[in-house]
Amino acid sequence: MPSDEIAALLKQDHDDLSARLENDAFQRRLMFKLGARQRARLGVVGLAGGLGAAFAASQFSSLGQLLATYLGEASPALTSQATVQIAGAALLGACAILTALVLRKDA
Amino acid sequence: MGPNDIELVALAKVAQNDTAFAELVRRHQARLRAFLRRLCGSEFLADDIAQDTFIKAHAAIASFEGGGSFRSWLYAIAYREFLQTRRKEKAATRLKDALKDDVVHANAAETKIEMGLSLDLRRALATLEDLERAALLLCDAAGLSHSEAAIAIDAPLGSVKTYVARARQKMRAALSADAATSNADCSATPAPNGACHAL
Repeated sequence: MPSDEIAALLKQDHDDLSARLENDAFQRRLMFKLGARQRARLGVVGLAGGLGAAFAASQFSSLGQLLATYLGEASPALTSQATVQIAGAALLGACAILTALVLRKDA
Repeated sequence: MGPNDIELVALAKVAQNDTAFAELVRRHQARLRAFLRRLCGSEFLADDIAQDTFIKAHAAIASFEGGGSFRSWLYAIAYREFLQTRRKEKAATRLKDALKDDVVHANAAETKIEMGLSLDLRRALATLEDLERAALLLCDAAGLSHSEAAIAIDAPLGSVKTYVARARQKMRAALSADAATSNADCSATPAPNGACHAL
């Protein structure tokens, strides 16, 4: 068998095989795997941001108290239950949302 | 007409743009995997190596300087990954089995799917040294130039030409030997209608 014929067979085989592999799930799986590190990073930063916000909220009890008053005014039913803890939780939620928005922009 | 490879690499580097890298993967994954499948003889191992190749390429994209083509850079990573896999004892055993399986136990379904390359050719490919097989597949099958292949397998240009020539010579010899064997088999066990059936 001449070299040209071998080369032609190899080329044909390579083209056929490539065509079959063109549209399988390899690329999707690979890109998902490549995104895993980024997702993990976002998770860690988000968690750290949330914890930081919780800590900050616990330190600013006066701010929480103020927020509790506002919450009470907005909904009188909450007056008796609106505590510093609830206000802290609201602060925490707001911080978490802000962190998520910043990270989303970063990503 | 979309951006070329170098522009996509620049985008992936500067803007850390995963969409640009995804496009590079889309362009090259099928041909790279086809090359690796023929190089190591096992589709699972080939896909593992291809995946590691792209992950390394993604991590090292900043180090791509654009001296050669992106394709040859990618194939160089793939070939290094292949060699690394070969060096690992466990993987080497799997590879050996895979090659054996590939040649001897190619099942009917696979044979039906892989009509492109005959068993004789695959057997002949398996007889080549790694470097010869890689050089032959890169130049004759994947369509890389000798210079690109030289970058991919990290060998001097002259050596690549020698590997390709030697590989072709060995392939010719192996295929002639196969043809002689099958002719002998045919004459020993002729079919009733005179046709020669593969045993």
